[in-house]
Amino acid sequence: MSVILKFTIRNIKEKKFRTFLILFSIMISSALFFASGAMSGSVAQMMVDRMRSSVGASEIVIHANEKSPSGYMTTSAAEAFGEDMDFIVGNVFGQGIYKADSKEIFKIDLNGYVFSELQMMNPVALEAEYKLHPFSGKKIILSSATAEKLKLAPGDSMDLKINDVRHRFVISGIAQPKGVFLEDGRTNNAVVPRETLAALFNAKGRVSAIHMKPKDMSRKQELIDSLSKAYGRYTVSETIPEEDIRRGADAFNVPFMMMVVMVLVISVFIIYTSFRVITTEMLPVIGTFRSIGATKRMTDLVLLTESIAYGVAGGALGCILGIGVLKIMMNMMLIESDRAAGFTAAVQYDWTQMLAAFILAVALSVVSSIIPIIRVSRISVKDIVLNKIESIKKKKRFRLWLGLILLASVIIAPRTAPRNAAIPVDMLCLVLASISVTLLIPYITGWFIKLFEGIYTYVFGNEGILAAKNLRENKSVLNNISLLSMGISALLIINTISFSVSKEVGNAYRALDYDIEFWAPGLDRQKLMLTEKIDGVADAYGNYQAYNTELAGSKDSISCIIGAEPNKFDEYFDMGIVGDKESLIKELGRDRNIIISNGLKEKFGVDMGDSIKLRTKRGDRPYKIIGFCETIMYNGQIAIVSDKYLKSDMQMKYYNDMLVKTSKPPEVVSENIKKYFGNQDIYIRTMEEMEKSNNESNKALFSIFRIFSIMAMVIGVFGILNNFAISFMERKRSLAMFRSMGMSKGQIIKMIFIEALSGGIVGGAVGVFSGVVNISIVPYVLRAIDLPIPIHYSAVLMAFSLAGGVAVTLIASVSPALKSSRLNIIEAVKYE
Amino acid sequence: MQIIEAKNLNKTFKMGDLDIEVLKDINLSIESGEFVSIMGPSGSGKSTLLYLIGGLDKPTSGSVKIKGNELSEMKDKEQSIMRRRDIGFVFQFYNLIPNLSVEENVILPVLLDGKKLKDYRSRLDDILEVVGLADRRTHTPRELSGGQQQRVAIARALVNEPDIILADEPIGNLDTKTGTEIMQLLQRINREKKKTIVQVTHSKEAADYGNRIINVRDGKVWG
Ligand SMILES: Nc1ncnc2c1ncn2[C@@H]1O[C@H](COP(=O)(O)OP(=O)(O)O)[C@@H](O)[C@H]1O
Ligand SMILES: [Mg+2]
Repeated sequence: MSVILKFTIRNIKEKKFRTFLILFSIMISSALFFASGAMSGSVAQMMVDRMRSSVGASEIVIHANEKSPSGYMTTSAAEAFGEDMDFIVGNVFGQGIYKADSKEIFKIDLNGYVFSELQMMNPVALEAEYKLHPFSGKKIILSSATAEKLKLAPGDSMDLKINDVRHRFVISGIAQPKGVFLEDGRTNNAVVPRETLAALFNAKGRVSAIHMKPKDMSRKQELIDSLSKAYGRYTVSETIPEEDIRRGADAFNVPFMMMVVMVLVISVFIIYTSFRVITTEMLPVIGTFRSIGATKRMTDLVLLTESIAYGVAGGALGCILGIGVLKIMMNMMLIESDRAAGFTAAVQYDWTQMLAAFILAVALSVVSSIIPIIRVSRISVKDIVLNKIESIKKKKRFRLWLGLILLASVIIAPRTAPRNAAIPVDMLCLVLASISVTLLIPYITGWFIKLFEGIYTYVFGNEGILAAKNLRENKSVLNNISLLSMGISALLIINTISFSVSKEVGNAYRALDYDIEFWAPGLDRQKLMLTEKIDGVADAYGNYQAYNTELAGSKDSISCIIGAEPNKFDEYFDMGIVGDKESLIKELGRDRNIIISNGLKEKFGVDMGDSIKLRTKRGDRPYKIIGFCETIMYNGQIAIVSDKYLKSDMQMKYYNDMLVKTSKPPEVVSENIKKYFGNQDIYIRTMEEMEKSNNESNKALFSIFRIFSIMAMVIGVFGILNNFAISFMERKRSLAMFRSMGMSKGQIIKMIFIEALSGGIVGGAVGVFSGVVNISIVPYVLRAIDLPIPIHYSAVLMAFSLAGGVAVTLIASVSPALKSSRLNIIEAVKYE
Repeated sequence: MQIIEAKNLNKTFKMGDLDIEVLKDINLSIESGEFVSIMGPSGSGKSTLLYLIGGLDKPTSGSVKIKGNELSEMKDKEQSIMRRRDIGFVFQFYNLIPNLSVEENVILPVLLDGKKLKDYRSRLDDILEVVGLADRRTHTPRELSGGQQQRVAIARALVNEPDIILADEPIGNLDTKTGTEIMQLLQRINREKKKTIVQVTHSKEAADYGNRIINVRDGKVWG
C-alpha cells in the first residue's frame, strides 16, 4: 500500500507539468466559480454602500409622493413611535445656486438637519469649524472638497440664491467627504440648520423626509405598516431595499456563470485525459500489487486519493486566487465618480461560498477522474499481468447517435424551454454541447479526412496519407481536436458576447438622433418654442416619458413609456419599430394604442391586437398593441404611446426633458442654452458626454469579461499543450517503429505538422460551429435576465478563432515534433 | 560480394559515471546471400551489434559499411532511405502499428519511400501469400496471434525488396511450433529470394537454420 502511495507521490513529483496543469485548471475553475458567485453579493453590497453613505443608519423613511397633499409633513405622528425607535430624524431638502467670483455657477444640494440628530444618524467628521454651535440661523457646513473648489474657508460668508432670493450664509464647518458629504465631483453637498431651510421654503415646523431606526430590527416591517397607516398619503418604506437590490444583482452573475460553465467543461476534459495517462502508467504497479493480494478497493483508493489530493490543493489555492480575482473585478466595477468620492470596492463573501468553491474543486477532480479509475479497476489482474489491456475496440455506433441526439436537443431545448427554466436549461445545454462535440469529433474528423484524402496525397505526398490515418485512428490526436474545439467555442462565446454588448451599447445611442438633451424646471410648450429660437438650435423636441408604469392586475411593469409626438418622433428616435414605422406612429395618435418592445412582448406573453391595462394616474387604462420594436434602451423594457394620451393619463404638466438638434457645434449650443436659462437649475448633456459616461460604466463589465476569456484561453492552451505531450508519449513506440523502417526525421516532422494542421482546421471549424450553436443559446439566457441584447455574429471573430486554433496546434506540436526526431529508437523498440 | 562490413566496432554506454563497454573491437564481414546467426548469452551485446549494423544506433568508434557505404558518413535522410530500401527489420516484439491493418502495416515502408500505393498492389498480394496471411489482410494486429504478427513484421521487412533482413530474436516470444514455422519461412526467403539475413538468437536450434554462426561473448566475436 505505502509503496503504491510512494509511487504515486514520485509520479506527481516527476510529472511536474501535468501536476501543474491539473492543479491549475482546478484552481482557476474554483477561483472563477467563487468570484462570480460572490460577485453579485459584492455588487449588491457596493450599491447598498453607495446608498448608505447619504442615509447613514436610517432603516425606515417617510417621504412625499405624487398623491401627497404637500412635499412636506410633520414629524408628530412619527414621534408617537418614539418608544420603538433609536432615532427619528426629520430633514429638509433644498437647492441653492452659488455664483463664484469667476461668474461660474454651482448648484449646492442643501440638507437641512438638526445637527445633533444628524450626528445620531449619519455622523459628520469635522475638519474645521467656526462658531458652529448652536447650529441655527444661516450657518452652513461644506465638504472639504467643495470648500476647496469654491475657495471658501470657515468664517467666510457665502451667498446662496434659494427660491430666487439671495441669502448670506456663514461657513461654520468643513467636513470630511464622508456620509452626507460623499460627493462624486459633480455634486456639492452642504448641511444647514433644518429650521432655517424649512423657513425659506415656507415649511416651518415641517420636514421633507423622516428617517427612523427601529430598536428591534425584527419589528421593522410591522413598524412600516403602522407608520403607513399614520402617514396615509405619504410613502413609508425601507430606506434601502436590500432585498430588491440583492435580487437585482443576482441576475448580474448569470453571464459569468455561463463562462464558468465553459471553463469547467475544459477543466473536466483536461483532468480526465490526464487521469487516463496516470492510470495507464500505474497499471503495472497496480497489477503487481493486486497479484500479491491487494484488494481492488485498496488500489482504487490510492488513485482516488491522488485525485482528491489534487482537488483539495487546487480548491485551497482556488479560494485564495478567487478572493484576488473578486477584488480585481470589484475594483473594475468602480466608476470614476466612485473613485472621486473616495469610495472603495467592498469585497463581500461568506464562508458558504468559499466552501462551495472548495467542494466544487474536489468534486471536479473526483468526477473527472472517476471514469479512468473505474476503467482500470475493471481490468482483471490476469489481463494486467499478461498485458492484454488493449481490448479490441469496435467503433461504437451509438456514440454517433448519442452525439447527434445531444446536438439536436441542445439546439431545440433553449428555444422551447419556459422562461423561468431558461437559465438552468441553457447552462445544461452548454455542457451537453461540449459532450456532443466530443462524441462527434471522431466522425467529423473521419468525414473531413475522407473529403480531403485525395488532396492530402497530392499536396503532402505519402506523409499526408500517414497523417490522415493517425487523425482517424489515434485517440490522443482526436482528444486534441476535441479539446481545441471546446476551447475555441468557449472563447468565441465569450468574445461574441462582449463584442455584441459593446456594439449594442454603441447602437443604443445611434437610436437617439439628436445632439443635446437638457432638463430645467417647468419645461412646457412655451419654453419649447423659446428654445427653438436660441442661437444654434435647429430644432427642439419636448419629450414625455413615464417610468415604472405598472400593469393593472399584475406585478409586471414597464420601465419606460415614451410619449411620441407623431410628427417628429421619427426624426429623434429610431426605436427599431417593426413594419411601417410612419403609419404606426401616426396610428398611435388616433387612440390609446401602444407599441411595445419584443422583450416586453415575450415577458407579458401578449400579441398584436391584445390590450394591456396601464395603471395611470387617472385609473387603469387599456392600450391596444399595434406594433413591436426591437431596442435595448432601458434593457428593452420600453413602450411607445402618443404624447397626447401619455400626457393626459399620467397628468403630466411638463416635459421630462427637451431634445435639441443643433446647427452649430453642440458644445457651443449647450453653452447658449445654459446662458438662456440663466441661473435656473439646468441639467444639460451633449450626446458625446452621454456616450462617454455610458461607455465608462460598461468598460468595467467588458474588462471583467476579458479576464474570464483570458483565463479560459490560458487553460485551453495549456490543456492542448498537455495533450500533445501525452499523445507524444503514447506514440513514442509507433514513431520509433516508423524510424526503424526508414522514416527520416524530416518525414516525421512533416507528418506531425500535417496532423497538427488538419487537427487545427477540424478542431477550429468544429469549435466555431459549436460556438455558434452555443451563442445561439445566449439570447435566451439574456432575455431571461431582462437583457435582450441581439447577438452579432462576427465573421472576423470566427476567422480569428479558426486561425488561432490552427496556430495553437501548430505551436503545440513543435516540441513533440522535435522530440520525436531526437527519439532513441532502440529504447522504444526493444522492450515490451 | 561483402554486403555488410564492420571494422573495429566499439560501443560504450554511459551509466552515470560508469562506462559500460558492451562491444569491443568487433570485426565482421557478411557476404551477400548468407544467412548468419549471431549467438550468445543474454546481455552479451548481440542486439546492440545488430542495431549498429542497421544504423539504429551510432557506434562509439569504428565503422559499419552497408553495400560499401560508410554509415557514419551518411546524413539522417540518406540513412533513412537506406533503411527503407536496403534493410528490413524484424523484432522480437513484432512492433506493429496497432491501429493500422495488416496490409497497411506491410505497405508502410513503401509509403515512407514516397511511392504510389497502386503500383505495389500485386507485390503486396505476393508477399502476403508468401507469409500466408492473404486472408487476414484487413485485420488489425490485435486480432492476430503472435506468430501471425511476426509474419506481418516479416512481410513488412520484405515489401521494399531490401537485400538485407535484420532480425532480433524473431522467435524469442513464440512457442516452439510457431517458432519453427517462422524459421522455415526465413530460410525459404533466404534461399528463394536470395536475401541476406542476419538474425540474433540465443538458441542453438534457431541458429542452426542459418548457414553461419557468429558467437558473441563479453562484447567480443568468437569464431
Ligand atoms: N541504452 C543502454 N544503456 C545502458 N546499457 C545498455 C543499453 N542498452 C544495452 N545496454 C547493456 O548492454 C549490454 C548488452 O545488451 P544487449 O545488446 O541488449 O544484449 P543481448 O541482446 O545480447 O541480450 C547489456 O548489459 C545491457 O544492459
Ligand atoms: Mg537482445
